[in-house]
Amino acid sequence: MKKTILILELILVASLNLLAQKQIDYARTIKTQFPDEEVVISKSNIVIEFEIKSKYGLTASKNIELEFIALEKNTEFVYPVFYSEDVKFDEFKAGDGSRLRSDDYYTSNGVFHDDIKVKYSIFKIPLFGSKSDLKARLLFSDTRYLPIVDFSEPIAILEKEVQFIIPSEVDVDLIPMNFEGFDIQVTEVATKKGRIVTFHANNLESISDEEDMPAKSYIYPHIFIHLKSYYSAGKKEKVFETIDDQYDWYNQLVAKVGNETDDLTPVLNQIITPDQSDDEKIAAIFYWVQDNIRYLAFENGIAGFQPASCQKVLNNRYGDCKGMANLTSELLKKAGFDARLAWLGTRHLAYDYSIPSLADDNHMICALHRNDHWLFLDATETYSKMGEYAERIQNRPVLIQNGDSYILETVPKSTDEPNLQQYTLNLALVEGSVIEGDVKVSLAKESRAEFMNYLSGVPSKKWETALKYYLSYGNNLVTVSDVQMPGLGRDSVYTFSGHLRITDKISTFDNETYVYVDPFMFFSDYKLDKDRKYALWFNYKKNVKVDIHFEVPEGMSAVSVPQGIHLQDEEFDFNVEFTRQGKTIHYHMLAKIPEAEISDDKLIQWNDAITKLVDTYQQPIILKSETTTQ
Amino acid sequence: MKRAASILFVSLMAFVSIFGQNDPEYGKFYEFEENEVKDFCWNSSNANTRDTVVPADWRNEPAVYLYFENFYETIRLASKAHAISYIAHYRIKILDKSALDDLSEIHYSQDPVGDYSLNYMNVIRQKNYLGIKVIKPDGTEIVLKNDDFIEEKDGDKKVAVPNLEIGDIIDYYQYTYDYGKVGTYVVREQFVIGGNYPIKHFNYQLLTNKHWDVMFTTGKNGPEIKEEIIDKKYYKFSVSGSDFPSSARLLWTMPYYDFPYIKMMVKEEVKNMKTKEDAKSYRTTEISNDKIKETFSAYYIQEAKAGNEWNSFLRYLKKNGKSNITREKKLEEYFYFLRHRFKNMHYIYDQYNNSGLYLDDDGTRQLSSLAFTGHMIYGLNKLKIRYDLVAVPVRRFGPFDDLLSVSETSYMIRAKLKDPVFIYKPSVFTPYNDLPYFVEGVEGFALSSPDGKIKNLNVKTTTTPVSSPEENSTTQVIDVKFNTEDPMKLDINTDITYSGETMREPKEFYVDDFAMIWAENDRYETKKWGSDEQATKKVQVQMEEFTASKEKERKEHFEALAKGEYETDDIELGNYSNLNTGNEPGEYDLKINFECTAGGLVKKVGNNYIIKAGQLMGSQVTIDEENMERTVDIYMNYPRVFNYAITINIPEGYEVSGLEGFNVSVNNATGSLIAVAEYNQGVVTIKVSKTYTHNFEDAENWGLMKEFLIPASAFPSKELLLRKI
Repeated sequence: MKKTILILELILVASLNLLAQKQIDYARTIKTQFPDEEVVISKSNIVIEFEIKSKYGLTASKNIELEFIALEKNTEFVYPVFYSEDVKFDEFKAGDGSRLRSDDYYTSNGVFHDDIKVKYSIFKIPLFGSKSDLKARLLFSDTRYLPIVDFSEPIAILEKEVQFIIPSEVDVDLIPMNFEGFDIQVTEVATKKGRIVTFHANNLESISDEEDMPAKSYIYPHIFIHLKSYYSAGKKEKVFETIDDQYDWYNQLVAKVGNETDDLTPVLNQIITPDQSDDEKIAAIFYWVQDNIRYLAFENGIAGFQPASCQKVLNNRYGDCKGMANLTSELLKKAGFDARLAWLGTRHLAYDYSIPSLADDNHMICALHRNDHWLFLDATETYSKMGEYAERIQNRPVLIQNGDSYILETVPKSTDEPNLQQYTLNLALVEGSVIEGDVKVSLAKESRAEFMNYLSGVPSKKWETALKYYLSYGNNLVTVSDVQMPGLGRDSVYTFSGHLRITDKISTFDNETYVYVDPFMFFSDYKLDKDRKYALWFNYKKNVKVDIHFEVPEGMSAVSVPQGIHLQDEEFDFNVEFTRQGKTIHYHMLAKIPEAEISDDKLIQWNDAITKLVDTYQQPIILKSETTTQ
Repeated sequence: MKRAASILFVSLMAFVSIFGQNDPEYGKFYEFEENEVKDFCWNSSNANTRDTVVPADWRNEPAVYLYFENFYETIRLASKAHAISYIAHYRIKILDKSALDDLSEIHYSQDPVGDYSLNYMNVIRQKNYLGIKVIKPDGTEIVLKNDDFIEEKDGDKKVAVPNLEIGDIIDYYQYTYDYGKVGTYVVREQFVIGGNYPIKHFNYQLLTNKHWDVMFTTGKNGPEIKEEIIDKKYYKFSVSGSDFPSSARLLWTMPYYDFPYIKMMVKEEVKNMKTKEDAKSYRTTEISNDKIKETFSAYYIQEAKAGNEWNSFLRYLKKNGKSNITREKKLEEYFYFLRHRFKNMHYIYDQYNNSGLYLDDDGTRQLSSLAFTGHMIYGLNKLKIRYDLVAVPVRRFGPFDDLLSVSETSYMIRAKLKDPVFIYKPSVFTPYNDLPYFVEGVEGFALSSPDGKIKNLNVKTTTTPVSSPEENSTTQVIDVKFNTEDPMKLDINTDITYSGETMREPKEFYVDDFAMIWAENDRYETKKWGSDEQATKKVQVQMEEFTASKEKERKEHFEALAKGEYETDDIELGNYSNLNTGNEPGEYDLKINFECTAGGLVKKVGNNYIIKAGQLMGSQVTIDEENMERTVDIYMNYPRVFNYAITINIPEGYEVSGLEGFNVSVNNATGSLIAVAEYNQGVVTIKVSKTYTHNFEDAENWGLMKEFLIPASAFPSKELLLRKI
């Protein structure tokens, strides 16, 4: 008997070993395909089933079943499932090696989606080739909150199936986005009750982490769900058939905000005075909200689409974009202006209201109608001046509140010119091996706002140190002194100055002195990895100018001045010039990125241009003693 | 008796002075309800809790803690369960926008406060209260209604503080009560007093009943720790003080040496306080000799089963003609022999199978400290080499005097040869006589027995040695030629020799580890797992893929090295190899070689070329504005020297200028930078040596260090001109 048990045990152990070995072999095969991944999703099955319930109308459930395979030992990763207030979890179960963390608010640079919550599990898989899994079931009582299904994820996927079970009473378009270049097949089967649409994708690489790449909605495959309407008990119920439906829904949410504008009176009386012009009053209100209301993505509105009341934002002294827009709008209205709420999707969304969906927007601002023009006021941009629009909202369609209807406008697009970032230096060679002189920096519009954001995050007692760091790039061979800087005011141009003493830009060869006159060499570190796949996005349209007047010392003359270079493309423009004027050499550098983007098909040209730009930066002005020259 | 009366008197006086009439009772904090916590923090008779005045010197700080209090109460209940209650109370004046942003959201989680190192799963959070109020400059107090502002999910809370502005005071507390069901508890905390913001009034308290062992220090510059007995049954340890400045973030610091700090550890020890009634203090202020003996005596006992390994080792010596080598050499051979038997012989199998179970964090076979030490000691006894066990704290966690617990020490064997040899429990790449930098120059304990008998074990204090710069050297021999096809590129051949501490990381990156292990297999005649000769066909196929992926990683490491050494991304890597492993008997350095073609180091100016020769030394330490002046002592990991011998072959038809820029000589007590450049028969030779003499310098020596650091930082911009003749 004992012997039999022993034999059985040995067979069991042997079987387990065989199984484990198969798993390891399988993982090795996957590792060959995804050598850089620590974990992959081997199977991902998503089933979205629409259902019409007599009590609730159209509902949906989303079943998620995932299988993970570790491709390293001791693999740790987090798998999140995002949801919002109107979505309930029916199930959230993670398999071996996982630990559920409590819900938290998801925070990112966007605005509306800051109100999205996340439930996540932390996985720790000790063995190479081992599996774990996750099952989740979400119930959508309001199907508007199901606007998109993504294919690609931060973890690579071997096989993913997204299936929609759609009753015949439901009118929905499943619009494929960015499918080109991906292995995704679609099949549709008619059933007695409606249809089943299945999308099957293979070998989805993980979402790239390239720096400053475009938002994923421009790149990665996803299904845009245009849920138009459904029939319940024979009656047609609209969801978002047209933008009118979407606007109606927004408008009824806004109507329930419960603004009590009497509470605004005391503060409004402090902000504006009767003797101010309208422009001054508008500016005073906008700047007051910028200065006094902290942007905090905390409000917990109806899935992030209903603003907090104006009095609540005022009392809290914080709000999200909706709350800040609402307060700005109510203050302006109370001051007698025609101010409205306005929805828009920032640059990070690839959509434009051509198809109605909650995916169209992620931001709210205030729109002021005046003299037949719209002025857009986004108080979340703490350091933007009135009438200046951040790149993220420029040229974006904006849905403006207009009673029962809406107005679709576009936020004006600006050129790069207003963002001028200008450096003027008067330099001279001293002590034979040091470049010394004054620098003046002027930053306008977005370059100004960017710098002020940087400075406001630094304790004020360290501002001078921060500014010295900025001017010297942390280089101990550049000494900065006599820093003159104003506070964080609202002048259109932020100007500061200092005195530079640069000791690493001179080389001396016998009786010649080589001078590298530009201490900043902007964009020299912008050469991109040769394997980069995606476009390069800048925060705003760049317009950088460096003007240096270099004084050739008495007794020396410039025997050689670099030629300069002009590298022009429709997406960038670099121009470096050297000109002589008596004993002064004028260096001029201009760099422009007029659309704040280098598209993916221009990356080679970009890298080539950066290489040439750096080569030019590294060309010296050659000085020689005049006695030697003679 | 006199002492007991005195303590009682002190405790009564303290009780009267700290608590007002309505203040709650100590020892029952776990019974607190929300209003009692509120009274304790906001209605205390301690006037410091209501301070509103920022000292004049601190008005340009971003914020100031007007009051900072942490209060732990650890009580072992009659049921043998544990009640751990905690109050943190902070009152902070906000003085600029950066602080406003920092303080406008308060997060706290459900995790236990402090570090409940044992039986974490048995801790149950019973209560969790948060109180926040904002005090406006005119004195108006706005108390937050928690329901309005707290988001709570499964105990995690986040509070967005409303109506908070620059000039306001935010005054908030958090109270938690955790119930520990069973088991032994350790609560520990360590932090510098005065971090981002200065502290005006600081108050740290720990209260226990008799069943706890309390270890507590504030560092050499810290305030006094006061002890009191309350109500004859509670033991209170408190630290209070005022005017603690904020601490700057500087290069090369070890804050536990320079700043006052709290290091507290309290663990369950039934009736411990009663045993201390006749002692000077109720704290355990130092580690006793008995404790050291108790902890390490097991390691000192020679391992009875070690005889088998020792005999195998003797056979190995004999077979390899090493029976007559010196006992010092035998010890070295024995270390590597044991390392192989215990650890390295399993390395390839474990790597291949990635079997996470039974592996250390570095992916290598787990090794019992006890077994390894026992085997080493067996060998030492056989070799008649005297030894002791040395237990020292990790340097950066604070000085020896502040050591609280044996668990803070790291132990090693010290063989008392002419030059002492240190033996740590090894990893795959640990060499013989390895004293890691983090235990260099540290005071600790030495445990030894004159006759090897346990009963005669004695404990003495000792200090580990500090290595010399030469022992931790990195020497690079760099030979540069112009690429024959593209004169804008350089062909570079690089030999690097790492020694001492500097080879620790490179070994893992650049050594062909499988070849190294197979060489060990040959040496010790053990199975060559995964090698062509011994593997099955299936394993051979799989090993090919596996070794290919590992080789790819290794090549990437070499590429990254080349890019880093020559400060250019334009690198085409050629041949690369480790010339030795620095990981076997008789090898005390790691030597590697690589060839590359590098762009970005040459530029053409007219008919001439400029070589960025200084860039061949790679990047150098730079000192930013914030670090330019310092009053805090300088703590570095270890003394070190970087040597460069660069030869640049100059093409015919060119003459060289700019050599004088490479001639630098700075030498002082803290270090040196010596650089000499010369041209001879078509070859430029640049020799540079940069030395950090010590691992510690007084703050006043910072100026001396800058004397060589700043010129060194100029090297990457130095150039040579090749002028067309």
